[in-house]
Amino acid sequence: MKKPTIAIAGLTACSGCQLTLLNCEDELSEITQRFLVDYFPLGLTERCMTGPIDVAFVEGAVSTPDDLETVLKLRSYSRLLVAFGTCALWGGVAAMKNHEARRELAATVYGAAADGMKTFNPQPLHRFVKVDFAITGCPPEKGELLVTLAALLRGTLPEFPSYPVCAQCRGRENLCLLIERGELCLGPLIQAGCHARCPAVGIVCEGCRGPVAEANVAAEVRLLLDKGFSREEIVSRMQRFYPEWDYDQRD
Amino acid sequence: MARNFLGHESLAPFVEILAGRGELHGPVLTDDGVMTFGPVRAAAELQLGYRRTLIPPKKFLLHPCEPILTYAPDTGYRLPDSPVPEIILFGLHPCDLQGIAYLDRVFLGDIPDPLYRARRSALTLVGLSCEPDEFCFCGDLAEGESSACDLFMRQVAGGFELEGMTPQGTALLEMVAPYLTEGDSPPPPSRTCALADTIRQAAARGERFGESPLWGEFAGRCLSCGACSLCCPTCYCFDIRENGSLDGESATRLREWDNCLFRAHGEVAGGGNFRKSRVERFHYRYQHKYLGFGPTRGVVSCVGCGRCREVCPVGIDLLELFKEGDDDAQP
Amino acid sequence: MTLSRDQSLLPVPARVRGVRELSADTTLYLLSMEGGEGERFDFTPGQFVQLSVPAGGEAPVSLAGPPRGDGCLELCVRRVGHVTGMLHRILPGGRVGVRGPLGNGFPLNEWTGRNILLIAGGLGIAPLRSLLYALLMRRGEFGEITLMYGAREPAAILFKEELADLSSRRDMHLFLTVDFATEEAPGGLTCNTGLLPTLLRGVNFGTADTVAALCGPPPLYRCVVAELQGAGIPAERIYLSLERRMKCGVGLCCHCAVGDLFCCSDGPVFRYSDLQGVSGAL
Repeated sequence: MKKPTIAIAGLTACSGCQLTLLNCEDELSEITQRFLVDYFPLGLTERCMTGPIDVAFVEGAVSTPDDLETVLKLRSYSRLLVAFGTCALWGGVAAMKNHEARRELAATVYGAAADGMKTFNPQPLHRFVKVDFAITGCPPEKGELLVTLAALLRGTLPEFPSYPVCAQCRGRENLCLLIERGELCLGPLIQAGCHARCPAVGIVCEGCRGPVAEANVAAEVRLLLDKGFSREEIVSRMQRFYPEWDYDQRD
Repeated sequence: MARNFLGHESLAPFVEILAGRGELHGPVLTDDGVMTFGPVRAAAELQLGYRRTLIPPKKFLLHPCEPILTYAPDTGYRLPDSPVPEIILFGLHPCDLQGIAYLDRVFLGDIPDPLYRARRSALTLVGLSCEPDEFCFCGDLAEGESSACDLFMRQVAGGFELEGMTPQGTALLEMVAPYLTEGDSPPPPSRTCALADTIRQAAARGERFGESPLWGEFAGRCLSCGACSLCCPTCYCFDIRENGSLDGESATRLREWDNCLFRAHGEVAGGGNFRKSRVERFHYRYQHKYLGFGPTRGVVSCVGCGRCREVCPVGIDLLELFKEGDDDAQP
Repeated sequence: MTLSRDQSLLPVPARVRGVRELSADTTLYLLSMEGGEGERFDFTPGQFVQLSVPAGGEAPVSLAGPPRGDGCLELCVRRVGHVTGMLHRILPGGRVGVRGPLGNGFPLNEWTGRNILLIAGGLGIAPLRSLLYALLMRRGEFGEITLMYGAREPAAILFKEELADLSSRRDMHLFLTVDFATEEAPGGLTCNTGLLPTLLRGVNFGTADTVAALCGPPPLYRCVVAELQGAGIPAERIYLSLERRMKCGVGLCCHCAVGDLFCCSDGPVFRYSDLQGVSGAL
């Protein structure tokens, strides 16, 4: 069988998701044997997209005309396009202030230099192009990337289970930071897959993997309000990685 | 009088003898202060006055997520051949023993599960009597289940009264014989629990509380976090999935704890779902815990350990259904 | 037939011997069991197998062929999910795995002497095809045999050539219907337009001593069962093959419960009388 051709590219983001691939140190040589890496500006000297691509892994949100051009080009070159990481799938950190005026935000950071900046509210990829698959996470889990690559070798895509961080957190027998410490933990709302890495070391789930499919958002907000957190605190924490929660959603 | 009394001062040598027979696990505290069945290195680590562990002992029989098959083109599918260690589980309360007895019934039934069977036969169970707290209600739900172990230790003044329940337990008893003296403790007072009776009666009449407004209330609050069933000693629903390897040929099939309150639990191919709403999923949970399915029809699988009530972030307690019934009966 | 040891987890290797496209999304696979298991593979129509596709996992598939007991299995598979999608890439000669047969199947021996009415909707024809061939193999033991089969549109009718053959048989009746007649019925077939319950109303199938066996999507059950009962077939003589996500197939994983019954181990064939009053069954 012909080696599948892949592209790994980034839009408005920190490149952390792309690094996930490079961090697969034990598997990198196997990956390069099984796949033809056609376009990977972060990891290849050659930076030219040459031909039809089987799968493009795209990191980051779309927030500039350049981003848009890149994602449209990747889409038109690629059979499958994968939203790679939380920004690409949900907007992520870049989108946390989308409820505030873009121009003023830019001015706050860049002062007068912001005037000529061509930037708009960071948006997930699916607002602009058809997305075939997503690997969430900030950054994505190595294991999920490898399972995806393995499935692509067989011409298919994997199925990731849909349940919240709590499910894996309980399984690890972590102290429940929400119940036992009354902390602002978003575990019940967030897609698992991270093996509750943060709660396992006593840090609350900040929601970096985005919402789980059946989040009971209204009940979690109620619970946090009852624990004494203000609505502002709760909303601010929830928006850190995903700005578009439906606060009335129950399932 | 039988020589079956083990003084507290003899616990350490007893634990050492047990540890010589396999991996010894018992109630210990993690660094974060979570009660868990973990490896015991010294008797002093044992938390024998513990109430309950977060995760029940089912984790020794059904791992949270484990490979059940591997596939390679030349061998086809194969069961894992990893060695099964001998494990001595020390200090299980009657509720947890009953939990294991229930799982035995399910996984060692007509079609025994090979992985469960291998682990179960490598498990030695040492039971320990307990005192109830505000969450548990085993009463006689767990009565008699102190016998579902190899050796039972009843906590009495100054130590423990030991009773061998199986040949294996009796053998253990013989090994510790030098440390045993004659016991003279009074027999344990019988423990009753009105709630346990109510549950048993409701289950016997097939009660479903179909009209109760509590279902809607539970469904509105439930976060679908999964804690109630992950922490339940008798919840064993599992999901199966298979991942290929990067070599493009081999694969691993995984079995993972599942939860009937997750939406995906009722999905069928093509995206249909037979338990779309959370209310339906709660009914399903109730059915399984109190009325049973298939070969466990008519078996109450709740053992009264109280874990689900303690670990629910939003305080959902299925027992309120039974209490509500109680109020109606006595206006 | 009882399951061999460890078949609660372990599939028996099987090879794809033949592949036959039945419609745009549905294919009939002929499999043969390997390693001596073949000769022992016998089943009752209505039973299913868990079909393993390496690296994809398992999917429950009902046995669609006649119970010949020769170690060959016919599986009619629609491409709807992960596993079935991967199966459709497997070519003749490719390797798969099979656990089964699982479930109860239709109780043919209890039906002798009765008229049999088979009602299939869509892919529901698969287990009923198996059942029909089993009935025809023992033709003398039963009364009238009628198959009613409804599909969405003419192109979605499965087993067209076989249906043409069956329609010329004098020892059974065949009625076909499609929801939408967008094109001519395929060659040799007489086909009505309209839903199955409507078709049912127009056909005299002799309700006295009739057993009905149904397989199709849930909405079909709701209307057809009402029609059958209206026509005088009692609930305990109406058999339905239900669909659930059967994962373990042996009554352990708890995904497929219907009331207090497991679809995989108590079913998938149920008498309607056992499902009446079971919330969410249909």
